[in-house]
Amino acid sequence: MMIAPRNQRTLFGAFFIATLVAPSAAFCQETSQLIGRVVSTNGTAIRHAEVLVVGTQWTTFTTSEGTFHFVLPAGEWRLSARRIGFTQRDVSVAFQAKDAPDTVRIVLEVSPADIQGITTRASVVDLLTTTATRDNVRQLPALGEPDLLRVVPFLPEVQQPNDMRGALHLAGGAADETGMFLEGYPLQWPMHLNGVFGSFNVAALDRADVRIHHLPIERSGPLGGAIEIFPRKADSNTVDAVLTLLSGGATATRHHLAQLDILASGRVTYADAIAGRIGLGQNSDLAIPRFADALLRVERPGRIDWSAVGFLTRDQSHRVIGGGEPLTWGEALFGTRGATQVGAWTASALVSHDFADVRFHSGLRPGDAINVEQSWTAVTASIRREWQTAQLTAGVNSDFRRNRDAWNSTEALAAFADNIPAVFQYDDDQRLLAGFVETARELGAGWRTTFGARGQLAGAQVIAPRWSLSGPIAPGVHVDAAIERRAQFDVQLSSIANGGVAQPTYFLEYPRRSDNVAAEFTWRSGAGAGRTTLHLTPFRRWYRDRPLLVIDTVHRERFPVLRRINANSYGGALALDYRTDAGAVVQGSYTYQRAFQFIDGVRMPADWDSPHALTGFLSIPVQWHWTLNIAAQARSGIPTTPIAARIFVPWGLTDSLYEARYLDGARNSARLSSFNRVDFGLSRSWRGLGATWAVDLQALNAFFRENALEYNWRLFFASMGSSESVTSKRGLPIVPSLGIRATW
Amino acid sequence: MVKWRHVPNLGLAFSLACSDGTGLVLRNEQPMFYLVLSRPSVGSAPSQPLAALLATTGTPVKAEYRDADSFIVRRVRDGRLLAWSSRGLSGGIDTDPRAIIEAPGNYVLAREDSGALLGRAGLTGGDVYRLDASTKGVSIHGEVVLPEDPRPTIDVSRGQVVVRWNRARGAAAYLVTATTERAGTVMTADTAMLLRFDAPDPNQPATPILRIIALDENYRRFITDTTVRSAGLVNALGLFGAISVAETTYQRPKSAVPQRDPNDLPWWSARLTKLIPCPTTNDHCWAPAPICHQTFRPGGKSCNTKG
Repeated sequence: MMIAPRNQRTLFGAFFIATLVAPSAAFCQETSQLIGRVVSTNGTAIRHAEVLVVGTQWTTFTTSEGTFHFVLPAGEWRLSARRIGFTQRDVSVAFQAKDAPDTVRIVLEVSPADIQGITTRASVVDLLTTTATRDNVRQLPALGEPDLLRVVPFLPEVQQPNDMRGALHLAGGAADETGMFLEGYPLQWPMHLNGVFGSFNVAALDRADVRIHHLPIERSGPLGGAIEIFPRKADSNTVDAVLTLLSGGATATRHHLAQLDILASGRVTYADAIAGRIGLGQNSDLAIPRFADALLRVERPGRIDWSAVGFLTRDQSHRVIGGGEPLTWGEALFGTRGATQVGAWTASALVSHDFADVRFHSGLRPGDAINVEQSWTAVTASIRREWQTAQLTAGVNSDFRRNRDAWNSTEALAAFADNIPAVFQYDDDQRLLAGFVETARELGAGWRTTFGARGQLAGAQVIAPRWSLSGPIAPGVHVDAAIERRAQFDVQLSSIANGGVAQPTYFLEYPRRSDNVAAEFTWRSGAGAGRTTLHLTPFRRWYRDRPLLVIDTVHRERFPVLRRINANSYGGALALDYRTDAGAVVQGSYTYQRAFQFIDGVRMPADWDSPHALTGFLSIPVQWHWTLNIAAQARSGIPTTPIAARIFVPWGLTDSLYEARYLDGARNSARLSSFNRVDFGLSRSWRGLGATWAVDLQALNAFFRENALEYNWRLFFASMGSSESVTSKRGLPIVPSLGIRATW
Repeated sequence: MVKWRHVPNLGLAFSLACSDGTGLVLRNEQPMFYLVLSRPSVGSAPSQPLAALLATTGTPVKAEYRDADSFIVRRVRDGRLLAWSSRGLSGGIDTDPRAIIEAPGNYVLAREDSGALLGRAGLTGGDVYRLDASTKGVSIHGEVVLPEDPRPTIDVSRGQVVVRWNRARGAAAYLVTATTERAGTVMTADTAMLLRFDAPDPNQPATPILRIIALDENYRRFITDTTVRSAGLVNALGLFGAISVAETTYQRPKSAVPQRDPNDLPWWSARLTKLIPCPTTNDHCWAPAPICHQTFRPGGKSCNTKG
């Protein structure tokens, strides 16, 4: 339901006045400074622990020395400190207003169970968010080496079509409705190996937050959700070297080097060289692209916290045509941000520039080339004001994007999708300006609500209101609920094809929108080891004006032709997290979700609709300090449009020669066979030679040798020869791998 | 502690998500029919018996020859029947879909007239022909106009060579192939075309050849829209079309120089080079795909071609 702008203004105004006036009385009291330190049981400072004053909006994070401070009114307060890998602890403090600051020391117990498993909900981030830390990722049996984006499909409501593509569908959303951000900076397509791998060295990362049902107010989209990746903080001096069958990488951190905390990480593959040795060389279709990536992060803590991030990823195909240049693609990001706090006010600003490109040049024919360049400059500025039981955040976003696509090569069909023209030019830019405001309010008894809106100030006018509520509904049972409208101003032509590279992106003058409703009921029994957690998450989404590529079979010069359709998705997920005293971890989820599109008044499954999905992860300590990790996935096959018939098209002037023409059946009226995978891994770590060593032995896809890919039916039948079998599967075979990691 | 006895339950749960693919193989019992009427005057091409193919569509990788209970094609103007006979072919048309499909027709038209029956040589341009066939309880009907033969003439004026031809009755479009042209085969509804003499030198024959094929509306529609299932037919997939072919030679003017950007070709020229045999052996029939000369927003207005 659309709210008239005048009514919206009235509503927002009343809410903000109520929010601002009510809590201001708290600061009429005398205040005093509280300085604290968070340490582990052996006295080591715990960095980046979240400390909050229970029942208020006041939250802070510890410094690299484990310290924090608050300015509080005199009285009795309860502080809660938490950090992934430690047991949360609450302490009470009571103090009088005085000149000298009070001090408090909070001791947290190490809780290894928290970082076991493939994800954790003991997160420092807010509601309806699942987090995968570096340690989580390393426990999942890896495809060659640990990969953040390989963990995400194990989460409830997340679907990946198959092993050979990195497209992620969140809660029934399309693949191009999933956004990726590096420390808040937007990325375009940070994938290696034709979309199979994420282009992040896990050793350089702190965590990834998967936000499906509740996005930060700063995000204008994407409709499906966001994967927010955070690099490690360089709060100590370490070197981390990793060797796997796929690549080698090194990550180094330096703390307080010329007052800067520096993280530098690089990774390069040699799998292409190994593949060449075993006969999968340049002339093979299975040749592995060459890839490399690097990440540099510099931070200067102080009165104004400042940081900058540089990220680079590059892939290069082996195939050289006629002495030209092979297909290469990659992305480069530079982003910087600053934040400062003055009293109850916090101001922050960030700016980033991302440049993604795809290039190819054939030596056979002049002009046979691909040049795709997509740049994205993003600026965000915001202020936050905190009161005792309320918080107000307001700010602006500005995006400037420019895309130049030009290709005149059939290689573009292989690189992007086979339904695009072989010759194409596109040059467009987009300027967006948006404002946002959100308030948060403690309601008492552990309940909290937020209310806000984003307004599109330039381009199409869109008001996107949002609301959330969280709190306990019974002992041990917590509920998070969110209602959001989202708007997205770009589109990719289709999901990335198997073996394809990044899809070019096109701008929308009028956005695609979604209205999302979700709730999560969490039941917890116990804490740390021996605890059981259950999450039940029903959701429903309504999509408006989702672009759908239409192939004009007569006027092919009209490309791309996009029509707008409505769609919806709904479902629910049940997730279990069980940890034993003996160190075993069981995580599993069942998701039922449907995704439908309405085309010409007919409801039909979306291309990624997969009604049933089961995931499981089991980690068991076994003998000689080895840990056995088992990860399994099973889900319904995805829909596909069958070929209803093959008819003939006359070829030439003879009456006995024909070409084949395949006629599509009803859209998405058939379904591929189910996807099943079981991965095993054995891992062990030990100390020696002044370093911590870890070794991982893994076998992927152990029981199910092959899974069906999302077939392109035209290519599928063309490759079948005279066989009538359609059960041929070309998914991932059994993949053994070995990895060694050293940290010192 | 992990209860090991629960592990089999996990397997049971996983089986919920397991299923074989459904609806992937579709079989179509509809008849598929192909007949492109043409007169034997195909220029330099050897005269072939004209055949029609009647098959069951079957699966996307295998069609099957199909017998007709009755197979009648008549010229509407005078009601004369055509002299068709069955070749008695049966079995599957099981070919490699990656290649050109070779499927000899199972009904063949006599070359010459036989009594009251018309042979291929008796077909006349500009006339309407009607098909009435019956096969396994399905009645197939169709109608087509056999275009008149185009009559090309070559005009040389001020160093420019223009080929012109008459507007053939029954023709909806023309496929024009000139061996001196880089564009390969071009489809046009016009009746004139400027020759550019821009084909690469190795492909230039000593005596250039010009071929014009007049297409009836069924044929034109069937090859230009890749979603068309049936053209000129009722109750069958396929094509009941007609073409007329004219061929001539011409001279390359001494002053001829390549003219115009070959990228100005219409979009379908690249695809048609696959459909039409190359005018000379070893000719790649290269033609560039189209360029969309415009800046546009996919979410906004449609592509507006400038070029």
